[in-house]
Amino acid sequence: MFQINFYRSYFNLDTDTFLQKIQRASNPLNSAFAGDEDTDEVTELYGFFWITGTLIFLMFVSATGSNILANWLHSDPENKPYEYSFELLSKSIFLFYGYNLVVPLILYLGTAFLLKFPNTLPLTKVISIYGYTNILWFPITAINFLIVVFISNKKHHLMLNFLEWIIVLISGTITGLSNITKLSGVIHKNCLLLADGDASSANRQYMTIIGLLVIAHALFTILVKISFFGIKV
Amino acid sequence: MQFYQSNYANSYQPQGGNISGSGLGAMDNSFGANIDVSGVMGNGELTPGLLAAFGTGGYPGEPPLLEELGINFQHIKDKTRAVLNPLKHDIDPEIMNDSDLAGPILFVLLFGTLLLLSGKVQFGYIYGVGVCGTVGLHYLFKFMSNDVQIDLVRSTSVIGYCLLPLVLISVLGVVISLDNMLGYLLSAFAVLWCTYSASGFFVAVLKLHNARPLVAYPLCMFYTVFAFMVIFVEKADVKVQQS
Repeated sequence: MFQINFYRSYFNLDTDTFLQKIQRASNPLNSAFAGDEDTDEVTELYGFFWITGTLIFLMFVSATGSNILANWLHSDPENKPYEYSFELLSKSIFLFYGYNLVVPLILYLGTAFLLKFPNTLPLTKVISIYGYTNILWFPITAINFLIVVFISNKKHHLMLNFLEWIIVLISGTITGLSNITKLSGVIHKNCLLLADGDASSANRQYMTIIGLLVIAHALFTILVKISFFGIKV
Repeated sequence: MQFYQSNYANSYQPQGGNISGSGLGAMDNSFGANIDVSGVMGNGELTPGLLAAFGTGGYPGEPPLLEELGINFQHIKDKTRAVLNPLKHDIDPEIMNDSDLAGPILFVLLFGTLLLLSGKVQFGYIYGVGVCGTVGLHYLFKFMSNDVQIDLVRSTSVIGYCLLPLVLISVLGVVISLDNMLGYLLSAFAVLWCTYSASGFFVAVLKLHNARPLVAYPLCMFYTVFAFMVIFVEKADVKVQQS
């Protein structure tokens, strides 16, 4: 585990594969495991690492930048300069890397050891899926700037808040959908195998797992909204 | 005076029989005997004597100092030229194997000095970001390469050489302020130039296939931090005593 060579296989990709994986991740409605047994698709952690890293940075820039813009454009007494809060960057790192590592880890541990799935979900593949679907969060970081330019917090506080909630919820839904549709096929198959053909209990188990994932993702979305998408001036 | 076990035969015999008695050993009786300061005694020893100590002779067959240190000016010039024209693709592979750190250290010191001349004392940050970034990039590229082993010295060498366009921008930063649109454009262009040449080097050294943008992205972020140092850092306050 501590040798370099152990990790080398996880970074083995080229540009075309990378772009292709981004494209597949951006589609919320396809499944990542379809016809997967004999594809030569590489499971790698480069995508997770860099896309999540870029997202952290963009979230921080978006939050700070839109607050600065709001301060500059819409606040009349110019006596209070904007105070940067770099704890937001640390919070961003913990939130994004944490969510994208901990939830796949819990899923893997739960399904492999607690429920004992016959075809276990490989941990790196789940982390990779969660990493690539983060690309769907990118658009709202840009939209945040636009919203702040056009709507002032002082005059239309309620509408600004409402709009911010809407965009975060839409993004959260799309990413959640993307994550879950990619994982649902395998989970369902495994539940069926576990239940030995008893469809109703398999469905119940499947729904429980999917429900837990949905709840985790919803909590994550709310945290993102609170941390990054409130305008405070 | 024999501090080291020398592999050169000590063929100098003292005249008297008092080697063991005298504390000065071989130097006692020799002040008049060896005023030859041409340097090479002919039997593998350093020329003893006060005048020879200030001369330029040394051990016979000793290589010149620059060669011993591994600083090869011709290679430094060639590699600098290779960075400056990243569009030319005929880099001699021999110079790629010579991973020297003298060029990069020179460039980094030049960068720090030019920033100092424009009022920004950033040596600590340059060192810190440089070391952390280079180590991180090195391990990332080690993960990404499959057959080729790369070590930290070569990584640092490539990254250091490709800092040259940013050094050129900091030359400009001495005379004009770069905190305006022109400055941003020039710095963006320099960062892209650095990234282009560094990713070219790494793709060639690591023999990667079709992975140039993936290698370029981390390098771009690394060089952007240096560009920020050139543009955005505030000048140190200088208090002038009115006498």
